[in-house]
Amino acid sequence: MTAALETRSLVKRFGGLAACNDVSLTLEQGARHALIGPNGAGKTTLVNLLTGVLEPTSGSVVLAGEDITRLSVHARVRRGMVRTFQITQLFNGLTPLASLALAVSAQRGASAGGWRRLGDDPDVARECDSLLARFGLVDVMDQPVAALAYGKRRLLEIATALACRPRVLLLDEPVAGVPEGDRQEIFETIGALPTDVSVLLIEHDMDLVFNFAKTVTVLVNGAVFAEGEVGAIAADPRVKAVYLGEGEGEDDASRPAHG
Amino acid sequence: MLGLDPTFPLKFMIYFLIVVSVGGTTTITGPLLAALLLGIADVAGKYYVPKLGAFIVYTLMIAILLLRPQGLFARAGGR
Amino acid sequence: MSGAGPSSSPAARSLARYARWRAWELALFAVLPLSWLLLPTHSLLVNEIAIVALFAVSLDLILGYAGIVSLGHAAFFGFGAYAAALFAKEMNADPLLGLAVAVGASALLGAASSVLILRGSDLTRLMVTLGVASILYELANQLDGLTGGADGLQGVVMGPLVTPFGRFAFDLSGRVACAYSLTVLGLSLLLARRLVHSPFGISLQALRDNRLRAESIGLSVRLRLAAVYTIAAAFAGAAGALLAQTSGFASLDVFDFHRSAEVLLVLVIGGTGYLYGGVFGAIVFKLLHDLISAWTPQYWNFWLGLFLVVLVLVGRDRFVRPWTWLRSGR
Repeated sequence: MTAALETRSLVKRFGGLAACNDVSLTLEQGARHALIGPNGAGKTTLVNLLTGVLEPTSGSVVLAGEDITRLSVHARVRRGMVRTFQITQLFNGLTPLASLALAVSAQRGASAGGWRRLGDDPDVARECDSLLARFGLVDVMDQPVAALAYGKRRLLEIATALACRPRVLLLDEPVAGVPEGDRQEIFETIGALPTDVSVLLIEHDMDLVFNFAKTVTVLVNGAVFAEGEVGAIAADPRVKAVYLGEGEGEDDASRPAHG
Repeated sequence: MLGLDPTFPLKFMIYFLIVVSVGGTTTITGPLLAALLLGIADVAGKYYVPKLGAFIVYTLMIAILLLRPQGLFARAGGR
Repeated sequence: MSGAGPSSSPAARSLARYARWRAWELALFAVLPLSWLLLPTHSLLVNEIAIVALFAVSLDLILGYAGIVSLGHAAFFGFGAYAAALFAKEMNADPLLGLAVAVGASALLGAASSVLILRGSDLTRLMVTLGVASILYELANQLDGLTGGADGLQGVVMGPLVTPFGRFAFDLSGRVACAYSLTVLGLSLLLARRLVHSPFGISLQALRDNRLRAESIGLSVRLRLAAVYTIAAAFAGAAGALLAQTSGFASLDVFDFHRSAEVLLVLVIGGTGYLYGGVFGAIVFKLLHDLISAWTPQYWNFWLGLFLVVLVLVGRDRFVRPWTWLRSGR
């Protein structure tokens, strides 16, 4: 079966530094795959390469069998590759409802219409209703996004991604800074995604990785360090050394109670 | 030689803006070199091709800004 | 007007509410014909205000909604003015036809120059747009066989307005011209209103707020910027055409930097991003101009400058409450 997403010898150099060093990664259909690694390992760089925000120095990105290396960011989204951002990237001047309505309309190819109003299509409205309900955003749907609490912003970030009907979903630290109680809720929503959506999760918190992922890739200094089933990776002494050896620089919120 | 009138700041302000944007806002020598470049191009253009002379500065500026939006002599990463 | 579909959907209801006509909007649209009815002796002033308002609204579309800064929006205003004047002089003096031609020509110019504003920072855009307007100014200056050069294009005599409501010839008092401009302004506002409440309009605000995010939900930012630039150019060209047609001539100053600067001032006064800032700003600006010029003509620029400095420092909300000016912080 064709992999949902593949990279082939992906390299990204900034001057002399290889932020991404010959990474060949495969994301199977329906995968629940985690990408972990110490700070500065190149995880976000890799996501930026996958989504087209950065152009690779060499190598290719293949989405469902199609080479998308030369495609623009928005063209990749149209083909089903959607991401969330580590630092929430929202439309601060709009409301959550308008943001979702826009994403849904874009997904239907109806976002360029200049005559009918944004809310005229009942299907769009229905889908917004369901997204707002799923993510608990109904009571804030008309507030300006700039005024939202941090937890709601993270929820909106994910809701917006899901509004784009992803086939491949790249989650870049989706719960960073979110209080413990809300994290579960978010992960339950992600876990409830249908199996035709393939998920790549970037995360620091090992507990979440264990709860969610089935397979893991460990990235160190821009290169693939280890790869395999989540249980095997957790038990791997080299992986533990890489994590424990990186020192106290990490913030406490993502430091797990290591077991 | 140019005289002084209340509107002269506005006329020159446009030249200042052109020179700074073409030279790049991250260095001091950038706009200096851009001023020399544009000044020579302007006067030479008006001398050799009087009909097109006035266009030279603006066309050159647009072309340069399209090719290098951060300015000719800006350090990488500048605005 | 509520949206289609069952109103039991909270999202549908909210979305419909976003686009609903507010009372003050209706009042503003009512002011347009009322000003024509109630101020017959001030037709020339009202005409000027309508033209500046349309020009300013066109800039608001790119500046307030899409976030494109421009110091050369007069390029389209002037192009429309000369297109309308030349069309009336050389081909056909029908004003509506001339308006259509000017709008089309400006839109083409807008589409062509839209490639220039896609790259670069705000400073780049300011300079590139300034450059385009300056080039057009020089072109109009040099092609004096066609445009009359520094003397301008004079003697543009317009034919009567042929509308479904009758034929109206332009008269010396300027009442027909004023009604014409106000009608074009009103229709343009209606069109622009539909645009900004549409998915396209919302997507413009989205890409202004967060370009990366807009791309990441599948919106093509470049195409949208080009499209809105073209539309704004068309509206600006309409304003220029109105000027040429109602005043009977077109001169180089339609391309001048001070026109581009003036329309920015109008938006500073009126506010951007809510579509009607251009109208309010035009009214205030022109009235101020008239009042201050009558009172102290040689110091008009001084008082205008002072007004603007205070306005920008204090902020529009506090400006109308002078007792709050000296409080620190906003």
